[in-house]
Amino acid sequence: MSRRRPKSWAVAALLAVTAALGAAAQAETPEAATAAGPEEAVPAPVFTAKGADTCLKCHDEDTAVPVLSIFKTAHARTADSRTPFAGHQCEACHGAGDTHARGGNKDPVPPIRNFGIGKDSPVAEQNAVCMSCHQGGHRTQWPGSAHDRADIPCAACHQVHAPQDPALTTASQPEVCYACHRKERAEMMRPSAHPVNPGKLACSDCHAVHGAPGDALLASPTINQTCYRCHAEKRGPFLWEHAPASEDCGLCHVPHGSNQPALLVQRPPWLCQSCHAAEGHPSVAYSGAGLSTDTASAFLLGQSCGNCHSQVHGTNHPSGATLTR
Amino acid sequence: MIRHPHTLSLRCLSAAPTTLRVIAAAATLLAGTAAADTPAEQTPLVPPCKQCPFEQGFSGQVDFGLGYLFDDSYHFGDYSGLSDQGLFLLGGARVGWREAEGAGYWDLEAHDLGLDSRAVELRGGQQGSFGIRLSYDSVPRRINDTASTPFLGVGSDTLSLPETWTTAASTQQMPDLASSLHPLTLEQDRKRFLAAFSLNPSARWTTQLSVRHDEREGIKPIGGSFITLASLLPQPTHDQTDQVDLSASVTGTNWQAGAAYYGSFYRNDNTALTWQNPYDPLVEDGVSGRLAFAPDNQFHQLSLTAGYQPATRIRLSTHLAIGRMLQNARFVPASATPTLMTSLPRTSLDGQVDTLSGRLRASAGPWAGLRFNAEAALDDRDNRTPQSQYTQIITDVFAADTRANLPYDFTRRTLKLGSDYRLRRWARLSAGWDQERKSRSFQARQRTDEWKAWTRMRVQPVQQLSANVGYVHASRTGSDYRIALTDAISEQQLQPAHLADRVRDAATLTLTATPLDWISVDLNGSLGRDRYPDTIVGFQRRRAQGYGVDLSLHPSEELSVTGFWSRDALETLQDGNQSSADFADWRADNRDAAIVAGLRADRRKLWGRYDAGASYEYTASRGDTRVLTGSANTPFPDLTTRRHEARAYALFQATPQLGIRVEYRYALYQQTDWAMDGVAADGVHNLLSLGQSSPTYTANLIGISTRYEFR
Repeated sequence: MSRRRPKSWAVAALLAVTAALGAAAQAETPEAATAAGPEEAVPAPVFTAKGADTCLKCHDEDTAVPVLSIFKTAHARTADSRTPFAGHQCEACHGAGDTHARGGNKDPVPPIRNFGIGKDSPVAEQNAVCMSCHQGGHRTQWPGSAHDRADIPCAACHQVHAPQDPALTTASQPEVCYACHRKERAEMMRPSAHPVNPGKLACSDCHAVHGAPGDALLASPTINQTCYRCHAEKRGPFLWEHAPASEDCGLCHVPHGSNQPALLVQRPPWLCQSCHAAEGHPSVAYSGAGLSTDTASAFLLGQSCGNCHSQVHGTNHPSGATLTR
Repeated sequence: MIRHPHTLSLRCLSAAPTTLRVIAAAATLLAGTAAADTPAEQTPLVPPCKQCPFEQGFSGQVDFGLGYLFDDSYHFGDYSGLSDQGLFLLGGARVGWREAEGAGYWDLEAHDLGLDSRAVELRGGQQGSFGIRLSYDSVPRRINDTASTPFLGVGSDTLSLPETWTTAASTQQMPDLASSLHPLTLEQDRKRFLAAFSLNPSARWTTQLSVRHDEREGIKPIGGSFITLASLLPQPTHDQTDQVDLSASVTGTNWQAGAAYYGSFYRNDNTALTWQNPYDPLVEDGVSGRLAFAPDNQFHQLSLTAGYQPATRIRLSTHLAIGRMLQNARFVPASATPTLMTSLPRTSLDGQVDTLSGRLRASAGPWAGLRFNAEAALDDRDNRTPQSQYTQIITDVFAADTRANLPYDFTRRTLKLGSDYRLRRWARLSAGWDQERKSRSFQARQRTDEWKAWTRMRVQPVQQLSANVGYVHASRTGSDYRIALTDAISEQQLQPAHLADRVRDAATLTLTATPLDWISVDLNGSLGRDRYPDTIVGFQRRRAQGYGVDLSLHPSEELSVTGFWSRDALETLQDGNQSSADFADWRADNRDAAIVAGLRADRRKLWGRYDAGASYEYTASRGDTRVLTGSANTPFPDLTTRRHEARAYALFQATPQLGIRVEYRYALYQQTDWAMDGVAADGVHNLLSLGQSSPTYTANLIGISTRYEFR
């Protein structure tokens, strides 16, 4: 394989990134922090003396913000030293709440850190709370990832207080994702679709939603490696490969749903003719005349090109160069 | 009163110079976790909570009942397993156990136990120390039950015709075809088993091992031909895939690192499908054909990932994966025709493809509200499969030229630069530049380059209204095409779709309004256009548009109503040349459109004891194909699909423990497809088809079940 010298734009980009990193680091110096900081003058927050017992005086299952279901979750396991309830309990996530608790009779009640879209607490602050514990695995790639850059709070998808977080269950997860991904929801309802809506496949089976090495937050580094997790028979390597299939499944298939069979982006023969135009049958115009009884065409009907070239993903047959064996 | 200056460890980063922090982090990496585990601060304990109702012991719910499907509706059972009229068992459970004053736990979940789509999962362990997960999932594909075939031995790797079969030059002349047809059901079941074990040796370390076994069994159609005399054959599927994921990760105060191994092992019980030739042999002893099945193969991949945050607003992460695909299954003979048998240069391929994926990502915010992101990536597929010369026995009919296999290499390099800037508290602007280079071997174009400029803006002038608008412009060019003068004119004029010069524009707009706390309305639209300015044969233009509306009403905790409607359309224009003219002499205009809609309402605690809800979904798709040749342009019928599905349920809580649930479900599905409908086994003279029709069904089912909850 040939290796080429890096282009000038790559060098310029590298310099720009270095400059940005340097500037950001400079912004983090104590002087900069001090200069920035009226908020630094705010007194340090104070935790309540009794923790959750204080919170539960006002918050229970019948209040506007029901909370008791969190005791059915993994976060409420005192024997696990990593969990909030092994530490500051409610305040481990919601922040020191003594002022909030003491102001329960005031209007408005002094604020406390809240989670979700549209809450007063900045998204970065919300997510930093979650990431202070949940920073391993795919979340290593969270900073700068698509959802991070879109300012999505963790609580937009996760219901931390729910006994069963819908985002973590295969059957209910799609609805969580569809709340924003409307196009994908529509595609999943098309005649040919992966079994996400029937509850047999989760969005997270293909996408590492907290950050991923690949494009489109794919769980594997490339599209094909992601597809091969369930379709390993198409991986090969084959003796006779179909180059586009080995390069990118997405050249012929859409991932979520299609009007065409087998999630094809377009119907054969025109899909095939978008790359094949050799003299003879690949270059012929197939019109509706090929459907009539007298002139019914095997190039159109049945599986179209696939009636003969059925091994479009590649074949190991020694005589399969034309993908017919 | 307890004072804690910092709540979060992320905020505890010292103000030491960056270089020192880099060195410190590197030292910590080398030293293992001991240093990283050193707590930065001692957190005083909060008194044990007295009022907290921590879960302990057993709790859960068990569903048991009966359902009845009023109609045979084969395709309705696709993924659901509900195909046959009659009674079926409704069974499910969600049972948990929590150790009192401990970290032990078990969870059992089961769904659809009475159906072919059943799934069971068991999780347990000692939270924070170790966990195990065992699961089973059955995924039924119900493809079509209207097919028929004259071939015997369906399900095996050898298909024969009845002893009395008389061959003919065309399907319409096959005297025994009609009497030999027997029903064929196209289906494929996937069963998935998973066993996973995770271990946390310390608070910083996580290790995980998971083993997944998939097995598939069923019948799907596949085409087989002798030159242009084709048959659609029932292809048996009996294969297994085993996957192993082994990973370890460690987290420090401001860094994370991980290593993983992924192995995938595919095994196919069948190596080839041999079928008896139903046509008059085109060669003296050409009585059968043979198709090779997907060969056994393996994939191994090692990956490393790391993230480092030297300062609050700086983040570096990297991911590196090296892999190897292997395939060395024994070749099937070069031909099923004895007189055309030829020797092979090797007995197996010894195929090997090495993969490399590397990514480096940096994110930095020089000041609050501004962030730069950069990512450089490389994906390489290095095909090291040996090349040899293979004599081609074309469709088991004649010996053609000798061909060398082409081990394709692909390399993709990308650089992405972007920034996000909060102009105001209510306005946020993002913009970026992506550059991609793809290099390929053995293809018409060795290199393509694409750049993309994009921008997005989000404005929220008031809390009740927000707008997102985005625009993308991209341009793809590449190296010269490799054209031989011996190529046909149409091939010289071709720019294959994925290699062609292309100009892309796309715009999106989303408006979200929440006039009241409990009402949300969302309008969205998108436009996209691809142009192929230098293509004579191939794609000329692709144009996509979509728009939709979402409505969400939550007037109370007990009542919610959601609805949506959207329409998406894609038009593709492509040109071809069938007359060796200097210009394209035909054009195909493919237009696909789909409308989807949904409405759902749920009411909880109705009259205190009832939960009730209803939902409706609708899909309508239409495909319009026009091929223009300048002469008589016979139109194609539309390709259509209509799906209506409605559900209603009510749950009566007879006692705090016992609930009775009644569910009704209705589905109507209609599809027309000119490639399939009305194409009888002898409908095309050179295609022995399966004679199947598009799936169409009406399904009604009712289910009554009890739900027992306990704790």
